[in-house]
Amino acid sequence: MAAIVLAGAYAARGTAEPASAYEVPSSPPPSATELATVRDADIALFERRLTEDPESATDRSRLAALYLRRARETGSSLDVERATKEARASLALREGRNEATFGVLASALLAQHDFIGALSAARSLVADDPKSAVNQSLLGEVYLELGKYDEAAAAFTIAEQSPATLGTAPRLARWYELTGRLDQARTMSRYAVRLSVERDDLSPEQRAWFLMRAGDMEAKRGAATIADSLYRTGLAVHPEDYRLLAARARLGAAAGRWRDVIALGESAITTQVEPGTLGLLRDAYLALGDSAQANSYAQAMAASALTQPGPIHRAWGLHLVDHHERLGDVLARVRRELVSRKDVYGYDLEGWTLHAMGRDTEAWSSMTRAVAQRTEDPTLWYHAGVVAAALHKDDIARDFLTRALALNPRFSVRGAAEARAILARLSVATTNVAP
Amino acid sequence: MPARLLALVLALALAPIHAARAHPLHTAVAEFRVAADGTLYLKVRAFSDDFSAAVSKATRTAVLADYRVSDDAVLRYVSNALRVEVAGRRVALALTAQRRDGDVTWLELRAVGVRSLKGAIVRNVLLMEMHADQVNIVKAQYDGRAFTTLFSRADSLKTLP
Repeated sequence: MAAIVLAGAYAARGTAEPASAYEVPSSPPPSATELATVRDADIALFERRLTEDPESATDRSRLAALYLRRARETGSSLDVERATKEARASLALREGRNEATFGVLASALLAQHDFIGALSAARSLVADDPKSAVNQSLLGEVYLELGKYDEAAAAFTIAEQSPATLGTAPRLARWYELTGRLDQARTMSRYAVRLSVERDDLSPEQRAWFLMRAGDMEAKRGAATIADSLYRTGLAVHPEDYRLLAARARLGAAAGRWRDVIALGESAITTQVEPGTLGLLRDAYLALGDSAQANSYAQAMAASALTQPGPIHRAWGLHLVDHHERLGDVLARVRRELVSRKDVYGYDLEGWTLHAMGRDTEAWSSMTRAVAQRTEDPTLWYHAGVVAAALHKDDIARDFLTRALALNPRFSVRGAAEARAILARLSVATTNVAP
Repeated sequence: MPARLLALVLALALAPIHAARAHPLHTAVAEFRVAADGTLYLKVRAFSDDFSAAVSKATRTAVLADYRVSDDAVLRYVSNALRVEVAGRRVALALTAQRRDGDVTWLELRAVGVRSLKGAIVRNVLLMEMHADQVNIVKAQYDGRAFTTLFSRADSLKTLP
């Protein structure tokens, strides 16, 4: 509980200034080019050293970490593969006094959605030092991704005993977020931002990521202005960060500001073509009546991510389902993934797809699993409410839809409108049967 | 050095939870900008390994160390794969710079005598011979406006509005 107490104490001080708490240091930061030059020089240095001494487990570990950092900054999947390869090579040379490399390996495998591999690496890390809060929280993070919530709770409960650090706070926040404690998640995310601001050894990409996560929590609860302020601060720290641009595009889409969505989304995809952002752009052009551009994005989506093997990107899957496209394909792929990864958002995609196919009884079975962790997410509640309404479970539908709109009345232009329409219909039905 | 090493250690612990690398998409970006003096500037971004392989194959030239290819080969490949026609005439591009940022290659090209891209015909098939799922982005700034369009294998020529 130490982590919560400390973060809570910060939150009590910080509530009066939601965005200004995240001020950017006044000294001009090094340019992205300068930082990239230093990073690449470090990579070149370790690559060179390894040609001279290929048996250095330490250098391989450091090189793996640098590849991982560059992957986050440039979007290179090749660097993630390199990080994995070097981390494995380092551990093959020596496991003793090389435990941190399991952390690098777990992170690289998580980035590739190899959750089983990441679990193995995280377990090795914990076996070495079970009392380490960082180790436990990394293990918990992997369990969350796999949908093993009881196991995640066991790991995070240990991690919670120590004061939160930059290594634990964002992962604890994710646990709280997924398990129905959005306020705690928000507090912990804000605390993580505070910790990151106090450090002078983080890259702009890392600082921006903490701000983005804090913004995501605000966005989820409908505090769009605060979320946008956090995202903007992140962009001041790390200009052209595609994740922050995409996050701002999502906020714009929820508010129906379609021209903003286009400007932000198209800036984001210049750095990294991300399936969810392509979907947002397609919706924006459709909303503005530009079917040629909308088709261009739909065609790009069909040509790229849908041709990839493996699990479907969740945001992309939901986008297709919302447009009643390729339902059989989405269902088959999400079900394949659910065999090993039984997480709430997998069940949500399965349930939403089944609903679109008119298979509401099956959809309800999936949706009950999707909401089982009491995740405070208006989209999850909206989906559950719509399926419940289709099955004439009126009280349950009313409850979910009311909660979705109460948490965030503008969680989605289309979703919020449909939720209101169903509630109005249920209200009429109740009035009509009243004595 | 200690601070940098500490940052390195932190990087191990702070990898973003949703790094979004599980669905890498093959893409190349071309950004056009028309300056007031009639110069057309073009920046191209592509992953170095794919790009060098494509240039090498198309021009039958060797890939140098670290995925580098000669300027001449680059220009020949790009001029063919990235086509711009203004008023029915093909724009002749000149390569002015080629640089690397990690795995990414940046190219800078320019052409003179282009006042606007309105009505220009564009085709971007960079690297499409390498990957069936290649999606290319063309961003164009001209006449005080910005326009973005995508190219996949099913696309041929597009006219800028």
